[in-house]
Amino acid sequence: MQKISVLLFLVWVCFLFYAGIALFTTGFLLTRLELTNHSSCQEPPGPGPLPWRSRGEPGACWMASRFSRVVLVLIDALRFDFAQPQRSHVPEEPSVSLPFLGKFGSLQRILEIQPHHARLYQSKADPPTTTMQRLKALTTGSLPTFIDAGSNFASNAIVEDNLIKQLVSTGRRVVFMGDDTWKDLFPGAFSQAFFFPSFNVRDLHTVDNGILEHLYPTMDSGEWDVLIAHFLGVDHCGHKHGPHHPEMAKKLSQMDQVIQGVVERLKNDTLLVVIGDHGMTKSGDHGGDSELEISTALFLYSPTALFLRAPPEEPEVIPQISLVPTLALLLGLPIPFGNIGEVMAELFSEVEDSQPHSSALAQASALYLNAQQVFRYLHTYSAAAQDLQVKELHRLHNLFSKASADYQRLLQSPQGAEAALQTVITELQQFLRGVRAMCIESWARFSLVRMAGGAAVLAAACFLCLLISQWATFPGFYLRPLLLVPMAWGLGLAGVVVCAGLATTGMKLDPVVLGAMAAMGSVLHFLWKAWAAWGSKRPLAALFPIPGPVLILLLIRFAAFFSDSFVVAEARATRFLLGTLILLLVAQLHWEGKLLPPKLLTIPRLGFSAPAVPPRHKGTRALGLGVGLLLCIRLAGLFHRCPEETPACHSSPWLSPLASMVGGRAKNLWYGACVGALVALLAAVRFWLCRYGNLKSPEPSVLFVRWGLPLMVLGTAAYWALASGADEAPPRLRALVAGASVVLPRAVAGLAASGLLLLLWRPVTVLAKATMGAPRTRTVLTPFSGPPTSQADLDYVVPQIYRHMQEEIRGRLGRTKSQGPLTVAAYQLGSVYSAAMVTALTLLAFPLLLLHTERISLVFLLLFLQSFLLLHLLAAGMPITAPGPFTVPWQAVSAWALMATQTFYSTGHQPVFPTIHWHAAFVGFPEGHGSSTWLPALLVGANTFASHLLFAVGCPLLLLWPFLCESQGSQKRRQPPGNEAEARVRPEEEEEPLMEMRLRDAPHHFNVALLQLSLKYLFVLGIQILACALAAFILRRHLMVWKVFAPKFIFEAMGFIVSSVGLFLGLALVMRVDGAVSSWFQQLVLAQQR
Amino acid sequence: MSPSEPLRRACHPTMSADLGQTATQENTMKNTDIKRLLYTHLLCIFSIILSIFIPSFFLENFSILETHLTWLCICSVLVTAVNLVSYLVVKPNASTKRSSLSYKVTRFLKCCIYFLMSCFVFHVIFVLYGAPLIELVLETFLFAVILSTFTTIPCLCLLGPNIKAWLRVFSRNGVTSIWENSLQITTISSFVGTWFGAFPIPLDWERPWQISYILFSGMAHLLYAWSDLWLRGWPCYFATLDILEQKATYIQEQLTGTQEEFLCRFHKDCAEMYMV
Repeated sequence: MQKISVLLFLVWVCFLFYAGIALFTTGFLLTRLELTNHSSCQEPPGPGPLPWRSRGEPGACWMASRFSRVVLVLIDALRFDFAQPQRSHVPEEPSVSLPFLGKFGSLQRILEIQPHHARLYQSKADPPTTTMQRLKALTTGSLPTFIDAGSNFASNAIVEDNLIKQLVSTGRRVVFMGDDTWKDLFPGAFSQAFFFPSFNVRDLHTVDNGILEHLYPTMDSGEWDVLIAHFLGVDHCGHKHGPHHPEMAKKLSQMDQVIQGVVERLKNDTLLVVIGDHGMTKSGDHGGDSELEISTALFLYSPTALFLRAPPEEPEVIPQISLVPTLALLLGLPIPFGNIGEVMAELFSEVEDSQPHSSALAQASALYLNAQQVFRYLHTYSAAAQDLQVKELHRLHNLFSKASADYQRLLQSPQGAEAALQTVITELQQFLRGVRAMCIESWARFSLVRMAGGAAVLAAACFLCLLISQWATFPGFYLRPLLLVPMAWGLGLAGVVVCAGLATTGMKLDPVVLGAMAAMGSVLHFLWKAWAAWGSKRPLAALFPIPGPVLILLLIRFAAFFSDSFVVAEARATRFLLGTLILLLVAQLHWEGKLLPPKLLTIPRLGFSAPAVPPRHKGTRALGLGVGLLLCIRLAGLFHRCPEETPACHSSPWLSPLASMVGGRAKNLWYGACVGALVALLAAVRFWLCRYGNLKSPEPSVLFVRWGLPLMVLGTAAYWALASGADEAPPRLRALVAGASVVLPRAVAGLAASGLLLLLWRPVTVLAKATMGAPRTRTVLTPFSGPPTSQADLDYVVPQIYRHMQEEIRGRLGRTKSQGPLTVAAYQLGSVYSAAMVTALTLLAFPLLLLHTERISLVFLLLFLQSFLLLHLLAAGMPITAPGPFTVPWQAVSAWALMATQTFYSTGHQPVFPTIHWHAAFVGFPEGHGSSTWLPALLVGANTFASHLLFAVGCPLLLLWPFLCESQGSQKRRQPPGNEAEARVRPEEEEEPLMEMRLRDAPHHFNVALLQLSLKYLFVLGIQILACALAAFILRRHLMVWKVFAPKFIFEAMGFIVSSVGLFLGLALVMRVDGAVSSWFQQLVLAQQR
Repeated sequence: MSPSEPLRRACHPTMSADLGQTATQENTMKNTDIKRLLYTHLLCIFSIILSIFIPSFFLENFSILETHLTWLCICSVLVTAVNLVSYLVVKPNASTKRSSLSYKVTRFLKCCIYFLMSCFVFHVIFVLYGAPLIELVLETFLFAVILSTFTTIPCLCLLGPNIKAWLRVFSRNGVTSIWENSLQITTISSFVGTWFGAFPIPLDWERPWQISYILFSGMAHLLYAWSDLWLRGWPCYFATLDILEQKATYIQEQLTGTQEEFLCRFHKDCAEMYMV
C-alpha cells in the first residue's frame, strides 16, 4: 500500500466527519449577527416627520409617553393556560381539577369587572425557550439564538440596544428584584437591585420570598420609574415536580396574591405588565419549540382605561416580542434598534377621544414608527450579514415603500377615507409580520432533518473507521480500489445535485448540504462495496474485537456525555477512567503472568524449582510505571479550573499568571519552579535523544535540538520574567521591557517554526560510517568484527546496524567482491522515526507553552512525563510481531485519547466559553491586534486545544514505542563490561535489535499499521463527538442544553478538528521520515557503488 | 489439555476402579466444602445486615447516613470477627506443620502488619484516584479499612501472610481450590463494586447519601460484592469444578462414578478414544 493512498484515505475519513459536524451544527446552532447600533431620541428611525402627537410636547421622544411608570412582573414559565380564566358557568364541560388551572382568580376578576382596563393575551415565545434567551428577547425585541455572533463570549452582558439601556439613557430609575441572570445581562444598569441566586432549581422559595420582602416596600416608597420583579418559583416547581403537582397550585396561588397586592398599590399613571417568559412541557421542562413551551400569558392592566373595545371571547394571540416596541412607545422611549416586534396597535387608540378616525390614525402612526425602525434595522443587518434571503428582502423592501408612500399620502390629506387608513395599517402589519417570519426562518428554528442527518453521517464515519481499522490487517486488503471509487461516487453525486439544483431552482446551494450529500453518497457506496467484499467470506463478529474492559470504558465515556452532571464533572470522570485503565493494564500484565517472574507463580506443590537467575525486575518496573502515572495524573489534577455550575468547587490558584501574585518571595520561588520545569523538559528530551544516540548525528535538525532548544528555553524564561515583573520595572526600562515582551514570544515561535522546517528538510538523524577492507572470511558482517580501529565505535551508546542494508549492498556489489567487502555502520537508525517525532513534539510544545500562564509549564512537564510512562507501560504489554502485521491495541489508543482530554482539563480549560484563556491572544501582541481576527483566534485556539494537538501529533509514537523498547533487553545484557568479550565470541549474541527498522522492512505492514492506528484514534474521538451530537439532539429541551451540552458539542467539535489535523500532520511527518530514510539508503548505495 | 482427557481416564475401567474409592471421598469432601463456603458467606452477609440494625439498640442517634463513620467501624469489626471465627471453625486449608506458640504469634503479628499496610496502600490509591488529601482524611481512611476488611482479611485468613500465594491466586490459572476461587471472586467483585460506587458522585440529585461519596462507595461495594456472590453463588461453585478439572493432579478426584457413567453414555466411544 502506498503512503499517498493512506493519507488520501485519512483525508476522506476526516472529510466525512467534518461534513457530519457541519451539517449537525447548521441544524443545531443557529447564528445571528449582533449589531451594536442604538436608537436615540434625537434621531428618528426614518425620513419624514415624527407623528403628530409628539410635536411640541416636552420630554417626548419618538412618541409622547402615555405612562410614566411600569411594573413588570415576570413570572418564569407562566404558561398561558395557567393564567387562563376558567369558565365555571359552562355546565357540560367536565370539571377536571388540574392543579394548575384557574388559580389566577384575581386576573379573572379584573378582566370581568374592568374590561377596558385589562387584557389577557396569549403571547407566543420564540424558541429557544430558555430564560436567558427569552430575557434578551423581551428587552431587545429580537430573536436571540444560542450564538449571537459578535457577542462577547466572556460575559453575558447584552450588547445590543435594549429597553433597559433606553430607560437608563433617558434617566429613568429601574429597580430590579429576582433572578440574578439579570445581573449578568445588564451589569450596573439598575438604580436599585435585589438579586437572588437562580441556579438551584430545587429551591422553590428563596427567590420569590426575597422578592416579596422588597416588592411592596419599594412600590410604596415611590423611588422608581420601572420596577421589574422576576419570580422563579413556578419555573423551579415545574423542573422539580412538573405542572401536575399540588405544589404548583400553591405556587400559582401565591403569584395570584402577588398580582392582587400589586394591583392594589397601582397609581393612575402606572401600567402593570404580567408576563411569562416561556411555558413548560408536561414534565416541566422547556427550551424547545413545542406548543406548551412557547405559549405564555401576557396580562396588561392600568387603573385608567386602556382599550376601546371589550376583550374578545378568546384571548388574542400575539408574538411575545410585541411587548418591546409597545412598552417603548408607551413609555415615550425610542424603540430598541434591533427590535423586529410589532406594536400592539390596540393600545395606541385614543380612549378619551371616541372618534374612530383619530384612533385609527394614532394606531397607524405607531405602526409606521415601528415599521420605519424595523426597516432601518433590516437595512443595516442585511448590509452586515448575508444570512437573510435576498428575494424575500427585496419583496419586503417593496412592501415597505408602498406602505410608506400610502401613509405619507394619508398625512398630506388628513381627511382621507377610513378605508385608506385601514389599508395602510394592514400593509404596515403585513410588512412587520413578513420581516418577523423571515427572521424566524433563518434564526430561530432547529432543523431536525439536518441534525439527524449530521448525526447519521457521524455514525457512519465512526462505523467506517471501526470497519477499516479491523479489516486493514487482513491479508489481501487493498485500499486503492476501495478508496477511489467511493470518492468518485461522492463527487459524482455532488455534481448531480449541483446540476439538479442549478437546473431547477437556479439558486446557489448550501455548501454544507452539498458536502454532506457527497459524504453520505461515498460512505454508502463504500459500505456497500465493503459488504460485498466482506460479508460473503467471513463472519461479521471478527469486525468487533475491542476487548471487553476497553469496550465498557468506551461505553461509559459515551454514556457520560448524555448527563449534564457528568459533562460538568468530566475532568474528574476522565481522570477516574484513565486511572482505571492504567490499573487495568497493570492488572492485565499480572493476570497474564508477564508482570512477575514465573518462579513466583508456579504452584509450589508441583515442585518446580526456578532457575537461580531471575530476570530483571520487570514486574516492579511495570508497577512503578503505573503508580508513577497515577501520581502524575493526580498532580496534574491540581491545576484544575472549576466549571461555574459547581459553586462548592474552588479553582486552583495556580492558574493565574505570576504577575497577579503579591508576595515577592513566593513569586520568585514559583518563577524558579517554572523555569526549572522548562529546563527539566529540555534536559529530558536531550537525555532521551542522547540515550538512543540520535544526538550524535551531525544533521541540522539535531544541531537545532542541541543549540536552538536552549535558546527557546532562555527566551521563554526571559519573557516570563518580564511579564511577571513588568510593573516593577524602573521607568527608564519600560520601553525596553515593552519591546522585549513583543519580540521574545515572536522569537521563540520563529525559532520553533524554523526548527520544524529544518526537521522536515532533513528528518534523518543518523550517523553513518563506512569501513573498508574487512577480512573476507567473515560471512556475518558486523561493525565490531572489523579491525581494531572500530574499537572506538563501542563508545556510542546504541550502535545500530542495518543488516539488510549490508546484504543489499553486498548483493549489488557482487561483481566487485574481489575488492573486499564493505561494512556500513549506521547508528541511531533504530530510533530514527521516534527521534523525529519527539523533536517535533518538543518544538511544538514550546510555543504552546508560551501561550499559557507560567505555572502551566509544570503541567506540560507532567504531560511529557506521563505520556512517556504510558508509552512504556503500553510497550510492556505489547508483543512485537516481527515481520508484521503490526497492530496497536485498543487500550493504547483509548488511553492516549483519554490522556489528551485529561490534559485539556489539567491545563486549566473547561468546555464553556467564559473559561477560555483570552489572554493568550496578547502573547507577543500586548497592544492587541487591531482589526484582524484570525490571528488572535489562532492564538486562543492554540492555547485551548494545545493538548489535543500534541497528543494527536504524537499518536504514531504508540506504534513506534514497542520497537524502541526492544533495545532495552539486549542493552541490559551488554551492560556489564566483562560480557563484551564474550559477546564477540558468540556471533548470535551480537545481533543488534533492529528496532524501528523492522517497520521499514515491511513497508506494506507499516503503512497499514499507521492507517489502522489513525483510524482507531479517529474512532475513539469520533464516538465522543457522536455522543455529544446525539446528546444535544435528544436533550435539546433540557434545561442545560445551552449551558452545558451546546458548549460541550462546540468544544468537542473543535477539538476533533484540531486532533484530526494533528493526526494527519503526525502521520505525514512519519512518512516524510520514511521517505527520507529510503532516499538516504539510495544515496548510500550509490556512494558505495562508485 | 484436550477436553476428552478426563473422559478417557474416567471411562477407562482399570483407572476408575482403583481410584473410585478416593474419588467418592473427595467428592463428599468437596460437597461439605461447598456447604461450608455457603454458610461462611451467609454469615458474612448476615453480619453486615446486623451491623446496620444492632448499633441502634446501643447507640443513640445511630443512622447509616449521619453517623456513617461509626457504622463503617462497626461493620468492619463485625466482618473481621466473622471471618476470623469462620476461618477458625472451618479451617479450609490443611493445618501447618509447625504449630508452636511463637510461630503463631509471629504469624498473627505479620497478619496485623499486612492488614495495616493494605489499609495504607488503599488509602494512597484512593488519594491517587482523586480523593482529597487533607479534607475527609478520616472518611477516606475508614473506607480503605473497610475495603481491606473485605479483601485483605479473607486473603490473610485463607492464605496467610504470604504475598506470593496472593499473587498466585490473582493470576490466570492460579486457583487451586474452591476456597481460593471464592476468594478471587469476592475480592475482585469488591474492587469492581467500589469502582462502580464512584459513579453517582457527580450527579446533581442532591440526595444525602451522595454527599458522603465514600459512604456511598462503601454501600455500593457491599451490596455489589455480596449480591454478586449470592447471585452467582451456586453456578460459580460448579464453574470451580470445571476449573479444577483442568488441574492435572486433580482430574481423578473430580468425577464420581455416577458422573462417569453419565458422561460415558454420551460419549460411547470414549473407551476407543482412550485406546487411540
